[in-house]
Amino acid sequence: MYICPMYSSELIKGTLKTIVLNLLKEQGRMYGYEITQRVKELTAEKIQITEGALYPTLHALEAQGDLQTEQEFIGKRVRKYYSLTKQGQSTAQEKVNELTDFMNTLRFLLNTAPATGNV
Amino acid sequence: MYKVTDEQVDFIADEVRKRGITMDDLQWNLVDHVCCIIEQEMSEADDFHRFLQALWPRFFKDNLREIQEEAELLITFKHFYAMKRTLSIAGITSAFFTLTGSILKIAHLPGAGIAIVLGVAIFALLFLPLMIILKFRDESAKSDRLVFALGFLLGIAASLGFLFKIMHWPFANMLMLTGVVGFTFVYVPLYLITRVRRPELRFNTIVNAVLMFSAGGLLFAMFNLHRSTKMNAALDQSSVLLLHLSEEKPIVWKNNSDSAQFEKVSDQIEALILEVQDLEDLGFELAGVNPGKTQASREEALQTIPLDSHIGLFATPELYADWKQLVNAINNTEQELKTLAVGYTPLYLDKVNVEHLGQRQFLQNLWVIKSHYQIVKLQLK
Repeated sequence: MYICPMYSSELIKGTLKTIVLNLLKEQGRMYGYEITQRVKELTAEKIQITEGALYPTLHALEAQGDLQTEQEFIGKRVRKYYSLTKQGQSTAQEKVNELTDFMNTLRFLLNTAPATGNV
Repeated sequence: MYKVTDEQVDFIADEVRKRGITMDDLQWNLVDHVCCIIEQEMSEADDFHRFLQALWPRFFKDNLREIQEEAELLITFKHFYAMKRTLSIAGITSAFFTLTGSILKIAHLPGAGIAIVLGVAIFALLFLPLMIILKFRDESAKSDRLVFALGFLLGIAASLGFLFKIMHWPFANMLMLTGVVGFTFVYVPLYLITRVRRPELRFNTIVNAVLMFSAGGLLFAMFNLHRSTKMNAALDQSSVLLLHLSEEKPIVWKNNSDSAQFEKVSDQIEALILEVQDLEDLGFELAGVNPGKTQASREEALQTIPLDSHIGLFATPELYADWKQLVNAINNTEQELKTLAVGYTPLYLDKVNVEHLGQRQFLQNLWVIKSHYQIVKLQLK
């Protein structure tokens, strides 16, 4: 569900939760549109999150208790700001660690970096 | 920068709803998102409606509702794990209660009923329904889903039937028979037909089907669809007893039903009466009186016991609970007895009708005495 000119959707499928959690960890509170724009900016438009992928993920994370929301009215619009709960903070850390570890393993597996582990 | 007006917000919200988004939270998110895009990307010269229509396809492949479906799927996925956890806990709890209940019941200890009801209720009303839901998710073929759902529904009926039977509640036989017959003769063949053609499942399917068919068939074979011969014999027997009591004649057992069962029940009741006599003897012994062997000497001996003697029956709390259970069971079977007696002619019909209440009272007391005479204490001054 990504629109990503650089990467295939299979390649980065499953990392959206980590991206969102980590972004909220650094930024505090954000709303949906802001998240898409920030990711676009940070990745120089290499990763663009679609609304179709972002909102289901945000709702699922909220249902799991990792995110909490605040509502603000802008005229007749309701804006939902998302931020991490206590549980969400540890989930974010776990997810980032897991992904980092995975990337290292992958780098080693694909021989793009010298072996550092026990061989 | 373009500014979205309140009317336009309403218009967008309407569009979002019309396109199938029903979750409030998601509506708000999408409306705000669309407004943000418009405010960031639309120039003053652009037409709002045209821009909006061109914008929608960015959100989906086929239609906007996909977003809500995806959100629901992700949320249900979370529920899926919660359900699996509940399933394990419900399974263990129900097994624990059912086992405890069965042991308590065999040992005639209090709490048996509650434990069995809890155990089977958790199994039939929580564990099995959850299994249906999980199977619906796990099985990809529609036929498998439906067949499994049918099997579990019949399982629910059968287990509730067994529970009702144990607790002497109504509709027990109907539930049990529906469950067992449906399971054996509908579910098992369907299970076999839908799976045996798939080579990877063939062996397991055949083994499972044979096991289920044998188990179901054996359970079915245990059903007795005729009136109980034991019940007939008991009715005969109680009539004979009544005659003996009302006319004070020595018991002459009449083998009316001409069955071995009759003899057996006769022996049992005779043994009970002897036990009652033992109890009387105990009373005489405690009073220091020798009653002799004949009925006349016993009556005479009874006169020698001081008139202001007190006789008490005492039971421990456990035995009292047991006694209550026994009395309840007798009361519960009363209706069953009446149903079975329709169309049946007992011996000495007139007397049975006249003395019906007294007869029942007598039998009830007799059974109570049988259960408790060992701990009965007769206190005589």
